[in-house]
Amino acid sequence: MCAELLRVEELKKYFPAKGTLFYNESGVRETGHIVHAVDGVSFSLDINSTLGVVGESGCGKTTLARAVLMLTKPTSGNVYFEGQQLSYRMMKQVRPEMQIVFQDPFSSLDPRMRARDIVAEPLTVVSKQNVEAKKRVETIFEQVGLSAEHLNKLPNELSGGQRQRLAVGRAIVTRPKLVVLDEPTSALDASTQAQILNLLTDLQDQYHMSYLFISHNVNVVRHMSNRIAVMYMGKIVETGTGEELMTKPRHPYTCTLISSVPTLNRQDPDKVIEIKGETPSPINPPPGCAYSPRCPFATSVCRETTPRLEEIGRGHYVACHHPTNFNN
Amino acid sequence: MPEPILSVRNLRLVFESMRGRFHALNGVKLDIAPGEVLGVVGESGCGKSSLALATIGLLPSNSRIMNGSEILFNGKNLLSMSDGEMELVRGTGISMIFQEPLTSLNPIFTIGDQLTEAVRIAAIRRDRKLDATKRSAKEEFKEQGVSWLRRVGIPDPESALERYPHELSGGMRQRVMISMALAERPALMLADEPTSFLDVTTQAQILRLTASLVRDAGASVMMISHDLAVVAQISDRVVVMYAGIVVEDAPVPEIYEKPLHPYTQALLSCLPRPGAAKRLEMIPGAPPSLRDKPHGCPYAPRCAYAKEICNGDTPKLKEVSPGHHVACILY
Repeated sequence: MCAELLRVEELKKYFPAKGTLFYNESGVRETGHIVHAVDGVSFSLDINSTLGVVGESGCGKTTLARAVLMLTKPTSGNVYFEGQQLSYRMMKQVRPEMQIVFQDPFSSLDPRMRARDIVAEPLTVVSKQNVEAKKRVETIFEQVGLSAEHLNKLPNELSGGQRQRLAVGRAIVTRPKLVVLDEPTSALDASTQAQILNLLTDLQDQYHMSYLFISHNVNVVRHMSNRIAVMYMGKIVETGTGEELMTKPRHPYTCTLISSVPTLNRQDPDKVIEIKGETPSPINPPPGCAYSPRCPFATSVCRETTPRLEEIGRGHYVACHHPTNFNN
Repeated sequence: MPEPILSVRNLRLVFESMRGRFHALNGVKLDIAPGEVLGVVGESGCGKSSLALATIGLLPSNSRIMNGSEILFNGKNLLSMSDGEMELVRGTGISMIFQEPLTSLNPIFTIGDQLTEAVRIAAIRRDRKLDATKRSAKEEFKEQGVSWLRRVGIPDPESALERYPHELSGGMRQRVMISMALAERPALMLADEPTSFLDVTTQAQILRLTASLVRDAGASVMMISHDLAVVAQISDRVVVMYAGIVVEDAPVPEIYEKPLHPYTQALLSCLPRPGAAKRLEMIPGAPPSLRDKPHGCPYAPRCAYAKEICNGDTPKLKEVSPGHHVACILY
């Protein structure tokens, strides 16, 4: 068993939806309208491994990424990094160890900063030795596949792929142990996506970093991850090793999600499990399983009790009262 | 092959801007047969959206279509039509669904206002003497609107007519767009990335719906997408574009099983999918800048098989097996 780098326990992040200006002591406006963006998520991530988080828009994957890094203060729950419980206050010391790459390289880079300054900026937090920093930045440029001629460019002079390389460079310049990748290739074309995914794989091999890889793209997550967690309405509904989850999904939502992914050969329309209805509002979700209004197997117990993640195979956890047996 | 409903010949298009001239399309050639679903795939900047906008006559004013270009719709050249004639082609002849339904629906009118407008125009065009202001006519339009919304799978269509676009989810908005595009019974529907903004489960719903509605209506479709897997689901034939030209044109599934152009091959092999190697295949470099005047094969600088001759004339589409065309000197 590999050593654990990150452990997240019952992490919750609620947002006030609308209403008054006043907050109570837990930072929630007392309106009764609360968006349960992340609603009790627990997982752990080993050193030098990748956990993929997959889910559809609005399921809370980006909020999860932000809450893990304390970029937004969690409503409740704990995050342990190398066994140490994270708090808002200590983040300045820990931040160099845990970095993030955002989805859109067009808005996550300061348009008025030169490429070299973008990459060098995190180093000013760690140390102030400029000569060393300059050298480090040049090495990083080489490692992420940018050349010396890019050092003095502004972001708008670079292509989408080059900008994302720059964002990756900025994230790894402090030699972090954990990098959160929030949809790192969603804004890119297929050929550029392959370049960035390969770059991330190479960097992980070299520096033994752990990735929390967040994406809506099932194929990309499957390609990059050792373990995968499927999120729906702020909760992890199923988690397991990549192959196990993809070939033997047990949660009805996972089954639907995987079967909906288009493949290059035309799918038999009967094999695609069509999802019913719409994603319910995350404001004050009903009791019971969040997927029950759309689930073909839902019974009365599903509408009353929220299922907990339970182990049903080695390392394979499902939050469902009636896990399906996918045998075909 | 029957007479094509749309045939594009040597379509060349440039955009003039303060920063110079951008070569968006550099001689596109393609045909769509009646009732055929043609997939158009390519990466951003390859000209797939410009192709659709040129076809329906909605290009911005800084664009210029070069001499010698032809877009024949039922044998008539759309590029030489007057605005009035083009107006008649839009809707009843060719209609279009756009990528992002929130920006292509008008936020200050209800779904009903916008959908019945399409229904009303279609009715007036069929019957010039129709008095569209009469109450009976208005009720008829509303009824047709309701039946369209029901057909595209919108629950409770009567109340949906009263709602504004922002009150619907992305999937529902795209269903409304599809119903508006089909309400005028077009012969050809252009769909520009209709599912790219949607979640994958919603995408599966919309693709299935589009396929069945189009089959019922007997319309042809030009389905534009950056995603090879999406077009594979509903297309009869796929055209691959690169830097403003068509590099390969072949039936499905042949194009996926036996891709011939080096670009198509590379594009297919760089997709992460089950069983792929840990290191994905990559296409080195980036597509050519649209500002460079095109010469030779646009893919040559990135191509593993490039030779001296590739920098000469731009290769023409050649039929290498029945229905399979490729623009490459290797064939």
